Amino acid sequence: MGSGTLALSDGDDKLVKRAKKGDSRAFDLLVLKYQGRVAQLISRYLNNAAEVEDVTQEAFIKAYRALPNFRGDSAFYTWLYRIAANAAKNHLVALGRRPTSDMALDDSEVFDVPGRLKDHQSPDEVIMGQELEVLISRTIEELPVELRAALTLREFEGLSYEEIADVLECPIGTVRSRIFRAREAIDVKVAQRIQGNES
Amino acid sequence: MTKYDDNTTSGSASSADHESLSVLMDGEANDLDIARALRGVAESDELRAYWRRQHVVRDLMAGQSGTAISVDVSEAVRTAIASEKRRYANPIISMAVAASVTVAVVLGGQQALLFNDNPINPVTAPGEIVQVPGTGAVQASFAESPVLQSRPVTARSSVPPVDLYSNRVSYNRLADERFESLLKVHNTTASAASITPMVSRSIDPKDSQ
Repeated sequence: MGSGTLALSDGDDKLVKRAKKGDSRAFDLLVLKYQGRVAQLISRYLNNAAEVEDVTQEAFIKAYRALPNFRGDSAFYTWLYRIAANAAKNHLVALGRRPTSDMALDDSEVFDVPGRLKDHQSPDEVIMGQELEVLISRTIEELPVELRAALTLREFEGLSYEEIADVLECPIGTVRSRIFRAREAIDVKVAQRIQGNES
Repeated sequence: MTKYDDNTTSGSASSADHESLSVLMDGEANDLDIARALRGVAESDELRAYWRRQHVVRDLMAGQSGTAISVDVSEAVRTAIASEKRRYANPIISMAVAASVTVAVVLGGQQALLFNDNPINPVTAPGEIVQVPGTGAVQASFAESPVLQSRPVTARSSVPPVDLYSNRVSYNRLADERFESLLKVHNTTASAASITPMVSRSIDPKDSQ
């Protein structure tokens, strides 16, 4: 991976390769990774939360069945989003409804514009997202400097482990460990916040 | 020890499992990391939740606050895929076995009729292995008929003997009748289509004998 941007598809190729061979655990990891984004895409077509969840589930099952035909010409998530968009449109057709003009998305809208889906969140999710953003920023600021540097170079600068090792003048194993420990520190806070919200 | 040491984990899964997932989400995982991550998520719901949260955090750090945090269909998808695998696994095995048995029976029967002029009384007895005509390997020889082996059996036969000779005669009679029927159809069609006033004549195999 080159420097500059963090690719959404980092690590996907290895999981997709295994999932294509029938390893459902690998596909499970892809579901866990993309379900939030896919659900948010589908919620642009459907307003009912239960329908969004059903169609999200249906989209992933369709993707699993179609996985042997995925040739890797595009990124996995691009292919997945297209399946999800089609599933949502088919659901509307089955219900005798048509997407309104503001629902009609072209590929550039769906796949390329960061943050575009924000307007279609429920108020609870907007609040939750904002609170988590603040919590994450604060936790990063509190991290020891060597952990913060490694995580920042990875997440915001998009550097590879090797590049970070060069910048920080330390072994790659140390980079790996520092990034992991930084994530653990953030996860403790985020898990508490999400569980508190659910209870 | 600080709160950021390696012992800081958020559940029952090991620190190494969490670290493997961390490396995997950066695309820097080696085979050991991937194997550990896959095993971990299969065994630990806590690890699956960790992986999910890590991607929510990444989305939020990247300004992708549109991610639907509350939606979780992973368990339903996992269950659906598992049941689908089970449903498809059994019929395939059944069909493969049925197809193999059918092919063995058809080929065995054909070879028995083609190569065996001597009727054999297949018998079964406890502990005995009997070579069924036509099911053995056939040598690539056009000059000799394969020798069918049958072990002498001392125990009393428990199955009535099958008269393979009469089966072969019946088969030949059916083949002759079929041939004659097709020949008549051919002659009728050829006569009607011909521009020359030729009368075709079919040769009855019985006449030539």
